[in-house]
Amino acid sequence: MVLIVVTMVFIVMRLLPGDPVRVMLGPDAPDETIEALRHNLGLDQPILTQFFFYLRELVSGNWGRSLIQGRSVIQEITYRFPLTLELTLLSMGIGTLTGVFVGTIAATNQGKALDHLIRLGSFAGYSMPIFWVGVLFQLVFGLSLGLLPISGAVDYYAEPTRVTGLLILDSLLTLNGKAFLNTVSHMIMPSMVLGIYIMVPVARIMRGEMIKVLDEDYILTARAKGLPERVVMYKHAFRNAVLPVITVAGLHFSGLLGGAVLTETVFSLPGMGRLLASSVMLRDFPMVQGCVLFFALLVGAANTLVDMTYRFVDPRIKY
Amino acid sequence: MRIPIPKGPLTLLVGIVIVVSIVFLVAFADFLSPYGSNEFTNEILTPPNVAHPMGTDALGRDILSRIIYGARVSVGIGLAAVAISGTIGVVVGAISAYYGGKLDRAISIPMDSIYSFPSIITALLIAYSLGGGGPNTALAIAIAWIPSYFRVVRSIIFSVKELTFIEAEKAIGAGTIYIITRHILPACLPSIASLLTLGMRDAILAAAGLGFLGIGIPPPTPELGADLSEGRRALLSGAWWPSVFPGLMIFIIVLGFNMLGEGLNELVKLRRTTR
Amino acid sequence: MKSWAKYTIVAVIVVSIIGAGFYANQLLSVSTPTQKTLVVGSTDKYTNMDPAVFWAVDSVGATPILEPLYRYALNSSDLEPCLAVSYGIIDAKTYEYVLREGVKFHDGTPFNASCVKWEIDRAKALGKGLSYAFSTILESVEVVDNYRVRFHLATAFSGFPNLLAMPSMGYIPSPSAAAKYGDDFSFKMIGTGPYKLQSWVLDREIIYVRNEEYWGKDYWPVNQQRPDKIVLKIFADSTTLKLALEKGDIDIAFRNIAHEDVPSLETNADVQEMQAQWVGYPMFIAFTLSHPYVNNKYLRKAIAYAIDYDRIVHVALGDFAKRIYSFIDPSWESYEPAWDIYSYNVTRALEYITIARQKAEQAGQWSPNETISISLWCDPSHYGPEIPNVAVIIQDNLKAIGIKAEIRVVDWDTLITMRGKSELQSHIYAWTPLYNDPYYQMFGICHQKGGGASKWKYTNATYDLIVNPTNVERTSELVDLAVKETNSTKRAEYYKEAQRLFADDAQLIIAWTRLEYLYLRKDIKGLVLGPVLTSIGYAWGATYKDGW
Repeated sequence: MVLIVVTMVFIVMRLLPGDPVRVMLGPDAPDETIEALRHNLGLDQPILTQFFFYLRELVSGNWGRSLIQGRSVIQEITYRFPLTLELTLLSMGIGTLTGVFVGTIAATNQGKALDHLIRLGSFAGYSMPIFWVGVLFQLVFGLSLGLLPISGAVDYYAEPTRVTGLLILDSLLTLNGKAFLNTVSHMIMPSMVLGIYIMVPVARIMRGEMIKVLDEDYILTARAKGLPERVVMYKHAFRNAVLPVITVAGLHFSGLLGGAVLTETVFSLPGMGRLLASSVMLRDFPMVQGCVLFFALLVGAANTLVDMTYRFVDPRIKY
Repeated sequence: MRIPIPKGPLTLLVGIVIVVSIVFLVAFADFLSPYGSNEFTNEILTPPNVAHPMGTDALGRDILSRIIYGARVSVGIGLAAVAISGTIGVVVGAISAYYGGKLDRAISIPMDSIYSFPSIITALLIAYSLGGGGPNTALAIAIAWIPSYFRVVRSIIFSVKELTFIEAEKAIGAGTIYIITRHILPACLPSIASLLTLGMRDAILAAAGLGFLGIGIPPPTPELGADLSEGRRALLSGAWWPSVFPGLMIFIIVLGFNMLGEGLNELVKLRRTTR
Repeated sequence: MKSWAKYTIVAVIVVSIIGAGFYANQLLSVSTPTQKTLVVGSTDKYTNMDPAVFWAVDSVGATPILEPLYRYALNSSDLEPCLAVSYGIIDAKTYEYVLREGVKFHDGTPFNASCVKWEIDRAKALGKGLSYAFSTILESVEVVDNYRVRFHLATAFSGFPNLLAMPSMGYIPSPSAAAKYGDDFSFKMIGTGPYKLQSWVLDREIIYVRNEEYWGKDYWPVNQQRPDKIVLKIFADSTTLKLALEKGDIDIAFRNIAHEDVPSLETNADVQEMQAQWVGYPMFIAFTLSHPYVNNKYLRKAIAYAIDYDRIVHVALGDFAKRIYSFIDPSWESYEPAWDIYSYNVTRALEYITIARQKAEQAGQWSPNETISISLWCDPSHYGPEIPNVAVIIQDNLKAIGIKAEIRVVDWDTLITMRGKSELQSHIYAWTPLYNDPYYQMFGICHQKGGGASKWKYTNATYDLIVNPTNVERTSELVDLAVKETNSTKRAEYYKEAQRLFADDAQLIIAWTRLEYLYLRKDIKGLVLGPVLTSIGYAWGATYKDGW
């Protein structure tokens, strides 16, 4: 899967009209200088050769240099990726938890007003463009109420020392209270906004599964045994409904990455999503290729993780 | 207390109402819109008032008019994208599923690869390499979403294929085309309707997303996502209306198609269980 | 005990431990006091201080440390003596500079003619960065004696003194330092300037300290070099920069506070605003004369009268721009406001359209009732996100005179490649001078062999509907004369005439230049903003805070 994606990107980017070398040197540079630089960068070789060179370099860990300012692609990506990871994990977490919660409530109040309200809410949630929700949040919580900062991942004066690159984690690890508060306040809105994208399908599945399970015979048995409602809920109904939730969450992971690109743009977070968007704009092929490859690897890893969790939670499933 | 509101039909009803209103709006934009979509006035960034119920943007254009025309653009791109990807996805999915075996595997692998990769990023790449513009954006979205249709149709057909009466037909010696047209396709049809409608939802959201990121229709044509992005720049000076209203319009349009699609889904399920 | 109680107790204990940790950490961090330090914030990325290699942005960072033979005065485009005390023009191809005696580099080594020769030769040989211009113009550098240098040019070039004043051509670093630091040289720059480089953390901050041995201590404009220390802090984006200014963590926000961040600063009582109009951003609409419709000079003139310049400057650009009347900078001697013949006048525009149509019909260019349609290309990624709005206004203006304009938004890459192939019927563009001499733009734009004119097809056309052939001939001639002319007044005259003729043909419609705004804390005084951007690196040294 990864290989196909990478090839596609390579082809697409190489076939684009336009000349990155001319961009680097400016419009009035003499032709010889342009040709010399083109040769230096290896851009005058036939496409297939370039492709093989590229693959070879990739595998050996050299992902090339950005066409803008010659920064190392892999350095930029590894520098910015943790923030996207942080955003994704937070949104996954918040979305899944709230989704499970909301779904359960809907299931236990099936048919009542609350259930309908929740269903309406889920339609609405799925129809709202992420970037719009982000702007609304910024307006309400950021500008009108002045409660939360509307952009950036952290304020420069409260930056924690980089350990992992996940800023909230870093502030915990370095016991930096100011940084912790600062980073959390910056990440609340983006994670909530992106979390909605996960919350809606999770809530739906949860509700559906809970309703199904609650009707099963063994639930009746448990109730008949006199077990308290809470135990029935958590020990039986819940456990069985959780599996599909994990699947759904996993399925939506790639959509989450796509959403991260939009969220990072709205909240000006210096993560990989924004890097990809701006690299596409600037025709920075090596960076775009690197980002896309990285995303592909990420999605692959996430899918594998979901499979493994699946097997772990339900030992009946054998591969 | 249980309120006996039949869920399915209600969703469908609301969906139909919204979509029909949107269609009406789009078709009669020229009559309904108070100003032209590019009429400049000297009222720069004015808040909502009587003359401009949704305020004006940074160039002095009426926002209400822009979102009415913008709706037209979004729906247009959505239709084009869905038409292309729906047709290709369904046809390829049908063929692949029907013949199965090696052909199916050969097609499924690239389809799955594209499917598991974030669709909006795929669309972003393709749209940008094709250059901007409405048709290119629609094509890019179409390509990125083909695998979704492919997968659904394929799974439906796989399940239909196994039905015994198909085996029976084959045993009698009925032709492939006969089987496909008389049995398989009709079985898929109801699901396809809701699939396409939900596809409109995805396509419109994607189009707006791409517009937001700066790819898509060149100015001065109003595009809801692009207008929202432009409107963001005025946010810090206190002007909330250039970004809120375009987004609201996207929301309403998408909500309409969403509910319509879900309503159709419910209908299909109902019919299936009552058969 | 109930399980939930157990869990709660554990949670409380964990949180308290973490909280205690935070508190302890807080107590331990100490802040250091500073003394007479000026803190400048910027979002630009500085990567290199080696003049032979660096690009435009880096030169500002290098200016407090390095000096040229003649530099630009703080508030004008005039040259003043710096490391040289005088220069003489021996002939059109030979310049002799007399160097200042007794100047030392920051590492104590003496400054003399061999240092100059070493640097200029090196820049020429490397051919990187902006100094590649040297390779065609300069032939050799001759050390006449310890304090005299002669420059032998390959061709007569009257703009040579300006060339030599540019950071990438003329900044002289210490040769001994280069030898000592090798590859690290760009990060350990040693020069002769008023400040020394103390430290540089890439993408973080650059710290300069006062050079106590500076030769120019008495020569400094206000007779007092103010800050003991200058810190140049790098920020990720405009919002962060703004925040830092509001908090007082920086004294000057330099390049760039984004337009959308400005309103909140304007109401801030602790912040003052200064306007800068720097050389280098003459924005115009260019036509490629091989395309239909725009190959009619009456049509182009009609367009020049149809554009609502005020609306563009005030509405689309939000007053971050100013109308200008030539691509030559107003601070230069050879500036001629040749484009003030055009102003927003729809009646005149319509008159010209009528003439254009008549002439076109006569010449068989296009038929009388044909809709004139033009494509207008622009690039927001390079010139700013307001550019499409400028295009929208132009489109509207053209509609009023019956021209249908189609806007095409592309990226920089595509724009310059297409321009290079003469594929852009009309586009929004700028021609930034690489060095502060008119020759660069004049040659590029008005000379038939220049990179601009040749791609825009401003060439000798026998057909005087496209351009006035006499204009084309004469402008090229004037530029050729000017480059050889050593008398600066005469030279200016040539350039002025060329601008007038060129404006008449309206192949470029000069419209606006960018205005930039710097935001400073209220208590910062003495900052001078001249037309030359790099001079600001030098100007910081003359700034001071109330109470110093």
